[in-house]
Amino acid sequence: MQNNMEKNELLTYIIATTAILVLLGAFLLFVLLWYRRNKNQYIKEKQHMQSTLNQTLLQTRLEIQEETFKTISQEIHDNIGQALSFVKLSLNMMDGRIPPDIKEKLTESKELLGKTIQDLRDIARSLNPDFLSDSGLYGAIEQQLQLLEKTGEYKTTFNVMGIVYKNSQQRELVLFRIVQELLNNIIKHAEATTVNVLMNYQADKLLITVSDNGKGFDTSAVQVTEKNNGLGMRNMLNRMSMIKGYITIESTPGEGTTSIIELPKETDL
Amino acid sequence: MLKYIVMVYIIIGTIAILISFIASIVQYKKAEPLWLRLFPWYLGFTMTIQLGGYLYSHFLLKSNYFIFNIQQIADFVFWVYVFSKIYKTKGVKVVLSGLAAFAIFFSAYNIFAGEGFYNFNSKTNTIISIILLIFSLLYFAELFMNNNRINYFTIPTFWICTGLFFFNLGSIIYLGLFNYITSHKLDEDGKIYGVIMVTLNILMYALFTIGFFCRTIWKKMSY
Repeated sequence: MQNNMEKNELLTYIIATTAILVLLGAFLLFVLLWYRRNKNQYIKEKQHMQSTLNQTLLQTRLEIQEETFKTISQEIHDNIGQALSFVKLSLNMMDGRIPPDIKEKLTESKELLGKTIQDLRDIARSLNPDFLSDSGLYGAIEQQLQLLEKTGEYKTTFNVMGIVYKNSQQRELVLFRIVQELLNNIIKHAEATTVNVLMNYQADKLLITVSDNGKGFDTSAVQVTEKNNGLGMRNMLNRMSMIKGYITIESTPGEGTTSIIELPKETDL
Repeated sequence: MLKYIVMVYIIIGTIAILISFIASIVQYKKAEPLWLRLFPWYLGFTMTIQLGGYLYSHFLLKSNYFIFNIQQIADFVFWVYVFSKIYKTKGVKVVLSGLAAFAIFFSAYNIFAGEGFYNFNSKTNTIISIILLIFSLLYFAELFMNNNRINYFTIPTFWICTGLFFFNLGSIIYLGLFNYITSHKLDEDGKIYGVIMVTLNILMYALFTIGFFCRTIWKKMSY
């Protein structure tokens, strides 16, 4: 009988220890889950703060950039442009006193000077963000294409579809700068002869397509090797994300490049 | 009466593993990560061994301990492979390799020079249970230290490790003292063994089943 009692006692200990171990395990798991929940919350808040900080930094950087562009634009207009205009005026006054053999050279110089003054005016204008409010986005983009055509090396087409509506000044400025950068990239790298821009105003979004018939490039190679030089691809993506838009660039070596900018229409909240 | 009780325990235990086995087959193509596709084979093997072991002893009236001695080593090798796929940290993988090597060597020693092949290798079972507990805890530690936001409930590995953790935690005492209990006839009718093992089996295989389906369940619940 005593043996039986001892056996029962031992079995009870075994069962009790097993139950306690399982409960301890459950408690450990509960603590882990609870702590992890708090950590998840902390990580979420940290990511949100990081994202807000990045957005703010990007916004500030862009504002400084635009202010710099504006200052340069004014300097070009007020100082360099004025000085060159004065030089042209002085050359005009010398007309009557020049020997005939030098007159041809002088005429060439005056033409070149006139072209330089006009080019400087165009540069100053495109740098100045205020001119967007005068021309509107599609007017500003059209002017950029006209500048390209003036070089004689590009044939450009510009089309607008849909009912044109105005976005906020910040959004239009970002869009314009991105289109400018895309056109600059075409000039620098594409070796193209045709540039086409299409602005498609849809009910819920604006699509801007910039395409060329240049040599194209391997998009994956650019993402891997690109350095942060001015408005690179990553910066264009950052700018677009700031105004809640998207940009996709499709290119194949030898078959040109097409960039599509998509900007959802602003809605009043 | 005893045989009836044992039959009931076997049936209940088999149902649990059968449901898990079917679930693993249903989710076979959607199984992610890919090592989850090993589970139908593992569960099928386990079911076969469990039934085969019971039938062997029932019809041949001989000890079936050697079958389970082989099974526990095969199970352990399977879990070592699974955990080697789960762990991300190099240091943890080194610990895994070390413990796995020790367990295998100890099992071989115990069979040839310890408890023997035809006695239930309770020492091997204890060592393996402790090691699998350590493996589970190491996984939880990795999860704990992860710096990304994690939703446990959508991770199959979490459910599977939790099932394994509770099974080994709950069975370690009884199976560790198995030879002592049987030799001293402490649980002659096997009732205590049946209750503990069936409960733990149901818990473990239920958690495995949730692990196979977890992504689907939580996706639907988020709509």
